[in-house]
Amino acid sequence: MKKRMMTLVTCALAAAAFSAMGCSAEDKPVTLTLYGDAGNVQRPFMQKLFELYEEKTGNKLDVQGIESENFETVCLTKFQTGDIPDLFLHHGGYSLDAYNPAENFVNFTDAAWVSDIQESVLPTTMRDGEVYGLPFWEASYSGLIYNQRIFEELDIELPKTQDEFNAVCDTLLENGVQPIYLPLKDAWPILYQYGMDPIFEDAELLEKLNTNQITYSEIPEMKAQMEWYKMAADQGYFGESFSTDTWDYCMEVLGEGEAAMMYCWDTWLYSDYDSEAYTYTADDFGLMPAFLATTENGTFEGPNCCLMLANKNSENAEAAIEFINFMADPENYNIAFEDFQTAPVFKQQTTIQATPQYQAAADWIAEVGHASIANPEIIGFSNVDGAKCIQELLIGNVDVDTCLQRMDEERIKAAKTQNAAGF
Amino acid sequence: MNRKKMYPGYMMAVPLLFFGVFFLLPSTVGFGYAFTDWSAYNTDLKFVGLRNFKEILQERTLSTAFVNTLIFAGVKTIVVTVLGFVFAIPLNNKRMKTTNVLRTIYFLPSVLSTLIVGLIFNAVFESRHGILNSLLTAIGCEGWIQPWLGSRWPAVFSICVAEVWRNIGYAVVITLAGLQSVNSDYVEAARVDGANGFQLFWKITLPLIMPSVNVNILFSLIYGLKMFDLVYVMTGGGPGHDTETFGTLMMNEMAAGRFSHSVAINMIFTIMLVIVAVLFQKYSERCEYVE
Amino acid sequence: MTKKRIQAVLKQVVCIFLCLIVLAPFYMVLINSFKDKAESARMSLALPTKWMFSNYLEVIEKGNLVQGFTNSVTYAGISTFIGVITCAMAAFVICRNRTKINNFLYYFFICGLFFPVNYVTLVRVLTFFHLNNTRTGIIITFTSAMVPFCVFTIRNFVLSLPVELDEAAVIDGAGPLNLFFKIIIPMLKPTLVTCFILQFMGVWSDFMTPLYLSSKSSMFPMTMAVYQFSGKNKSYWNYIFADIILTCIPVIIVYLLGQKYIVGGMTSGAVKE
Repeated sequence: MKKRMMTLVTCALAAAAFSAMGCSAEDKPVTLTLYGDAGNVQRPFMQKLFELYEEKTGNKLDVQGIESENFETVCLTKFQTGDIPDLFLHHGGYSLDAYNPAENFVNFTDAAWVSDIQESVLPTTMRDGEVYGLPFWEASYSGLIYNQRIFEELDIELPKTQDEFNAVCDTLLENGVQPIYLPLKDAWPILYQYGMDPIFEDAELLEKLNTNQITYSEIPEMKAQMEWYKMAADQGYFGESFSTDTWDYCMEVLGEGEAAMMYCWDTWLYSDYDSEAYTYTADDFGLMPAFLATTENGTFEGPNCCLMLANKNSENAEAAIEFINFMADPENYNIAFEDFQTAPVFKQQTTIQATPQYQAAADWIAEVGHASIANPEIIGFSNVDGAKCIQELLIGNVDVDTCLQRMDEERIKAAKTQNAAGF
Repeated sequence: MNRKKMYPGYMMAVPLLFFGVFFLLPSTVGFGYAFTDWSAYNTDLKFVGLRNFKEILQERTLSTAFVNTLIFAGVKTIVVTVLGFVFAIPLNNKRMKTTNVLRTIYFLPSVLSTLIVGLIFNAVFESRHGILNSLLTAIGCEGWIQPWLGSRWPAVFSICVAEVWRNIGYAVVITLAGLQSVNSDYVEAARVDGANGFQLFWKITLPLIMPSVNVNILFSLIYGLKMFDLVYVMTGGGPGHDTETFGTLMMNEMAAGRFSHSVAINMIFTIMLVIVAVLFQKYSERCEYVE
Repeated sequence: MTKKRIQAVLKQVVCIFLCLIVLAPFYMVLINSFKDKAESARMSLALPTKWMFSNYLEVIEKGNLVQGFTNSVTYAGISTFIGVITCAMAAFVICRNRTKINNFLYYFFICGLFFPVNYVTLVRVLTFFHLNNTRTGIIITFTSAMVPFCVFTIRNFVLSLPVELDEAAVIDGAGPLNLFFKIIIPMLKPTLVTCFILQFMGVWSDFMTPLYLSSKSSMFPMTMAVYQFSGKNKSYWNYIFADIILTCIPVIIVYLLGQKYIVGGMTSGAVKE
């Protein structure tokens, strides 16, 4: 009996080995490898486009979603070992420089599709003034999403100023509703960079920061923001358990009305939020500016796009360029984005519609909207590095000044690594 | 008997070749990077001497990581070793009918990858719907309720619990392998001499299985010190940098593109590992031969 | 007699209690794998309101689990089999023939317990041998990584085998390989099986190595599939849990198969009494 078992196991192993070898020998037209964050490559419009491409061209895509938490580590290591994919999906900004875009990726500055991209999005596609990636993405506007029905029931007017906003939070608290859901534990969803856009819209200040002539600590608005966070946490605006709240639970907490607001982007309500599962549906939410004490009237953040980049040194470079041009073809992107609710990235986008939240807040956005600046423009900026400092502030490990000091330290350290001038 | 002929060197060829070429060579050569300015932004490497080490030793998070690493490894080793016995001794009893089932059940946690254990225990310690907090409410211990992963010491405790849970199976298997190798003649002889169960264990069984217990402890220590993926999944080194370990520091430096820093931290860490292991080995050898 | 019985019952009760602690998280995974997306995200211990058995079919299809399974079995099975057998040989020689070189080699192997893997240099070495991006390369990497553990563990057990066995075999005219496979391996069976199970598990759950060493998703192991369902913005916990269950089953089977040999070792020890 024992012997038979052993033979069986051995046979199974051998069979597995042979079948595995058999698979790899097959030959296909062209297979393009694509690395991207697991969540990003799963976006519905991406999936639709991948299918469309395989159908129309007969080529294959080997799409590899890499887990978000390890994404940068895995990809940077792979680039160092020379394992560079044909196509690379990355959220752009300064962290793209670690991948050496000038040497590794196709320069699309002269591509026909560049003129088809909305002016507000175009800067996010560039590094050093050259276009490297196609922003085949949703163009969402970020701020605070809030539960309109709770606001109506409690007879709360939409706040126009920071003081009014604080008063709204107090009213919600008095009525037993947690004002804001802040998934502090995951670090990135603190989204404090929303508050920084209006500060660094001042090109002169940004230039000073990027040449190390000024630090966060010396900017009063930055201090005001951190002080507000601390005050809000102490007042209970973020609820009792904010220190362990995670992004995974945000749908439920918002959907069941446990909390009334969250820093987020409008498209999320339709691309991710599960309307059927909870008491409140996507349409019950509205969009208002993020009030983070850096500006009197709050701020919306403009679109942040993921970029599709092509490896110019690959043997499949031509096919990769064709793939990106395929994505940029209005006929194709209009199929992929069909019925998706978001603002347009491309000028000839006809099949999408803006979210009701965006439409309702359009005038407001025109008034206090700002382009995304912190992530793409500040040298050495890392969302998570800074967010960890805010974690320490809010759980009481450090005070506001130390928090800002540490944010500066992290930023300067990153800038030094990037060999930025002045650091 | 001709030893050379009876135990020929070629029997070591495969591990020697594989291990030497595909493990030790890349690892050793890899350490060289600790003395360069290798980063995602530098393609031409320069020798920078000990600069990386100096910079690392100035890092604020290093001392936290050092303390956490030792705590995780120490607590895990002690608890897992003791529990290994608690779980394995009843299983060594041939009269128990449930032995087979129990042994399989105890083993179950080890089949899960760390990532998954992390996900599971996140759900257990989560403060909104977490199983632990609901349980505490149910048994009337509301005073104990807290955001487990939200501040340093509760988070360290939670991670330890998860790590212990994950390693129970390992410990049971190895301890059991030791227990079964005990020659029952000794035990019977002692029993005839009137020794009770406790004495039997303490005076006879334990000294006999000390070698395999030591192996268990050594591996617990080493893997405990190396542990980082569980921390990474459960807290990401947070809140802030409160649960950072050497492993998560290395990971962060990698993600930031500071490769040479990462290698340098790893080198410091390896030296620490070797010191701990050598100390332990010295100590345990003394234990084994005392009798 | 009654005292003994009470003791036995107490023991059982303790064991069952410990069992519950071990099993509770498993129960959570299992029960949530049958729920729909929103319900499973709550991760409660309650029974599902609607049993979604289709989760499993979806996971197998979307996660490309059949291919992943083949890969995982290939990597874990082959590398562990080669690793354990060859390391047993090495441990045997190191333990029995204690020359200076062999002693040095022992510490040489043990280094591996401490040294970290550097994927960048590892890939360079593999590329030099044209093994990068191949299944062979991945298998060799796994095998080489398990050498320290196996040599160390098995050596400790060889120590307890009497040398007289070898001498008797030599007198009977056995060569070294004959001696090793006919006499030593059967004696070491429980240890070897234990090693095999532990290393098999280790390789099975390691997805980083294949991820770094290959650029084709067709070479990814079963465990990678979890990432198909988890992402920054949304996680399909029901699929994740179903995938966890499916990924565990093969390892549990290997354990159950192996357990018979470990138990076999126990009874043969008892017979000697």
